[in-house]
Amino acid sequence: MVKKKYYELVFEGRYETIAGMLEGFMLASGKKWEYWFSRRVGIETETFAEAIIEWGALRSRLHHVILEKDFHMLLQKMAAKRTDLKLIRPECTKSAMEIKSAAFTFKAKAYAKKYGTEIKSILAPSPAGIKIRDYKPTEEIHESAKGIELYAPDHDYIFTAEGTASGEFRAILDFRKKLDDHPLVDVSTIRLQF
Amino acid sequence: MKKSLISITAMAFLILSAAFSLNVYAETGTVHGSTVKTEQTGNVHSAEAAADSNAAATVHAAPHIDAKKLSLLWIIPFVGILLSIALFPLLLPHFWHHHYGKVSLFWGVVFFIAFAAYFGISTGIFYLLEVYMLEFIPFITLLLALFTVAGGIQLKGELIGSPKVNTIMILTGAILASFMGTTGAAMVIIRPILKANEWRKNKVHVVVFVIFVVANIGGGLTPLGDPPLFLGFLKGVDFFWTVTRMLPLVSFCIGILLVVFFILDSWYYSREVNRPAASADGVKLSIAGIPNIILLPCVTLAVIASSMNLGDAFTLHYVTVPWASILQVGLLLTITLVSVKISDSAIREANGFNWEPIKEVAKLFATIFITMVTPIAMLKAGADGPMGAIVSSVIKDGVYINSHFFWAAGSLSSFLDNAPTYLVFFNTAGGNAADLMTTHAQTLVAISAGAVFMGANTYIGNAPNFMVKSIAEDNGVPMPSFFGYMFRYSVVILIPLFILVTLVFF
Repeated sequence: MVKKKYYELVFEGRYETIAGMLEGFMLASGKKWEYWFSRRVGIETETFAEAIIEWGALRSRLHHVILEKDFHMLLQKMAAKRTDLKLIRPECTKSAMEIKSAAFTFKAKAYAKKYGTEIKSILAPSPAGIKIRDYKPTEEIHESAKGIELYAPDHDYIFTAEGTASGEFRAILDFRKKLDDHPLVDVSTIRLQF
Repeated sequence: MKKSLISITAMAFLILSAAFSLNVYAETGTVHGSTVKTEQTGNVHSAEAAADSNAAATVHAAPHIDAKKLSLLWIIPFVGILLSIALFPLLLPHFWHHHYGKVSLFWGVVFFIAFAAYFGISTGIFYLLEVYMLEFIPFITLLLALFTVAGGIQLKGELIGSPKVNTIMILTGAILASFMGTTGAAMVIIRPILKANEWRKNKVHVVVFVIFVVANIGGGLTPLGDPPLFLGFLKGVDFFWTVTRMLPLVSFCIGILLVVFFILDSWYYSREVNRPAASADGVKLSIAGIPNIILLPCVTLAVIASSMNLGDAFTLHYVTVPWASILQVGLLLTITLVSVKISDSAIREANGFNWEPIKEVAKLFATIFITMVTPIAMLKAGADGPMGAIVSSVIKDGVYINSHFFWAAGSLSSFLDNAPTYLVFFNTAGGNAADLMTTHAQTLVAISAGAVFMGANTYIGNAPNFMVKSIAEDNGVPMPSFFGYMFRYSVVILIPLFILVTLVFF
């Protein structure tokens, strides 16, 4: 199976206009592509300077969107031909970069074996296309701490883990969501490599 | 370990003794024991009776410390045990879990040896007997009875944690808290709430509101609800005075918190994607453990019985123990034994019941009660005493500033245990229950509300907070850190509420 390639595009404009344009384009072309607005799926986007500019403008004008390569290519090609459009213009696309890989970090802490086992089963074995680094889960068992306490609380089981997951963009996106859906795992935003 | 503990105790004793001695010689130039006077003492609940001639026989000349010129160093053991309780669970949880009893014993022994050496063994024994026979034993037997009875009651039901169900369950917990204590109510309510919300991704706020409402504010209605109010009761505050005076405040706070909770929970609920369908054959909400429910009012009756004037049972080294107190302790122990005997073991198992919480309270409060002797005496010395700064901060030119009492008691309660904090301000306000229930009634309301309500401000403000957090974490709820709890929840929700309480009531 040929691995799909993805591009990160930075569009300038209103969210509704951009989303409407992308979906309208898909409707008209009859194709079924995937796209994601970076902020909505936990992908690191703007630089600090961009954030300051946006706060100053009191509204979000720059949108980082991930598109499949075919989608991106066709969209750019068609947009270049139609310079007469008022809202969709080639210059509204501020940048387009091919994503080489993606990565995020995670941290987990659980106080019951059930949850420790759940988290371990998500993390090992690592899914296809993903490499997990610095992952050293630890489990502490304190038999004497069983039961409820008031002033001297302690857990009879403590699971901790942290690490970095990196690999193909699509696999990382799904894997991050899976970990984020577990209430006892904290995940960072996804950092893209171009 | 034992040897090192003994060595540390001995060293601390020597250092403290030397420090106390030097300071007092420098200030007063007196010799040891010269600050011991005599006073008229008797049991607080027979204080009313002392007014009439029949009770005159119960009053004895007893050793008494004059705290006006005492060194502030005498509060070190009291502050030491309170800071140990506050900080060790956060900084060294494993050490504290295994050695809290030894740490408590250390502070208690250091205090008592220094106290007895300085004021004389007779004075030391007098205070030891007075504190344990008249305060500690009734206190710990009440908590034991409430905890045992509550552990035999279980809420059952296949509930789905919707905003309506959660709000009703938290309200139920708040009502239970005033009759079975915040610890018992939290123990009964937390597991059904966690079970009902097991499917939800966003449930941290539910546990936080259980801490706010059930583990703290709900206990503000009766002396059974929270240890500070029971200590007030032991000092002579009428049982029903507390109920009638605290009802408007407790209702106001719980009402607002439940509205805020319902709105917040509805918002989180709307974001949940995997809502389970209501099961038609699921068990509806029910209470198991009827025999223990019947025992609950018996606890109330036992406590009220201690207010009766039945005369004095015996006097031991100037300390007179009234029959009413013995009756109360006897009844509470009987209730405890009956509860153990008749309870369904499956219910106790489902509640995760064990004796550890009561052991902790007993070991830690045994020290808190005895080390409180000197700070309380200093506060009673008034604005001219060693703790005059505290007194002056809440009493200006003889006028009691209730809002200051509320916030001062509350601020300390947020970080230190609320029971001793209550007593500190009770004594700052004069320590006379009759006066505090009449002339300065609103001051006592402010102290009670501050001590009870603001225990919810941090995890360390009240013991059940830790218990609820720990049970929630065992059940997969990612509870916030110490500061996360404060800045994401208590500062945002509780502090504005308490400002509103100040504006409306004080």
